[in-house]
Amino acid sequence: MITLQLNGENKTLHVGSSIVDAINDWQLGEQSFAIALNEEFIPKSSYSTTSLQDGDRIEVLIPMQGG
Amino acid sequence: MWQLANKQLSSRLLIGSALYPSPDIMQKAITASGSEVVTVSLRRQNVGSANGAANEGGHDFWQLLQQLNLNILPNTAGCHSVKEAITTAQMAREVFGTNWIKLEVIGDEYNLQPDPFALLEATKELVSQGFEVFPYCTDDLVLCQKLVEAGCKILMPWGSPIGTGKGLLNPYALKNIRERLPDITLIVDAGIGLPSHATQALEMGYDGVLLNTAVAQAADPIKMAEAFKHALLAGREGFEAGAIKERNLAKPSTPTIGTPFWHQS
Repeated sequence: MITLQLNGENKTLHVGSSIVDAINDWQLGEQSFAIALNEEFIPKSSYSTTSLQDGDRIEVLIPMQGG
Repeated sequence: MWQLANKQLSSRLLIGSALYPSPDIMQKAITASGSEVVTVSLRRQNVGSANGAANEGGHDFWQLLQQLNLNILPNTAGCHSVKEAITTAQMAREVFGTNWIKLEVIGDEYNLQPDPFALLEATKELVSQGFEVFPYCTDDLVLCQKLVEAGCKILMPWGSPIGTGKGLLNPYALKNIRERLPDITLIVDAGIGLPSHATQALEMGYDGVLLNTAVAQAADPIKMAEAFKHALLAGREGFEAGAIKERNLAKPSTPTIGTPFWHQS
């Protein structure tokens, strides 16, 4: 298993997991979101080919009110 | 009609979506304002079932806003570095499906003043990546000129610090930017408190005003939104009509010819 941070919280995943695996495992749902991995934007087209490593930091951001 | 980036718009008001008493009031106030551009942000999705309600709030908000069918202007609010701002802008482009970005890079926590150096650096990178950058900047002319050189066609100097409602603290600087950059779309962003502040900006020849708190936190946000709609119309028409020059010497407006004998000496 590997341990990652998802929006600041510790999460575990199987070794070799991709971002698609993480999305399914964490049940991020159907709503609009975007992902950054270690502060780098990851486009949706790269989710299946981006493998996750122990210690990675993932940010999942959703639309919110703003000024 | 006027041109904002690649869009033809009627309203010169850009409005924020935060701080309203309720989603329903937000929707009604935005509609009442007549604005066709609304600002939004990106924030962390709360993880885990215990936070489901918070996520639903963000989801519901976005669905509600989409119903209004307006132009979306995502921001990079809360970013303090070039890296954070660029990553947030890239994420916003994917989520909101627009290359517009209200670029905020904060340099000081007390007055939320933009960091001009980081702003310029982030602007250069985002322009090279195809973004239409709407930089939230100070009223420094040289900074504005550098942002234009970096590829900005729109600038958004502050009237005063975000949320203060102090209005246009430095009209001289704002007028100077207008005069020196006649071909750039200029929008006063932040610090607007009263409808008259918005009127003042448009009387100077500014193309628009971006505000949030002044409407959202008013006692009656829907009525205040209508007030701003009228204020912007008044300001623009006043600008187009061509104001008289200010002077020190008084001059009577009533004709002096034909005055009664008791006025003649």
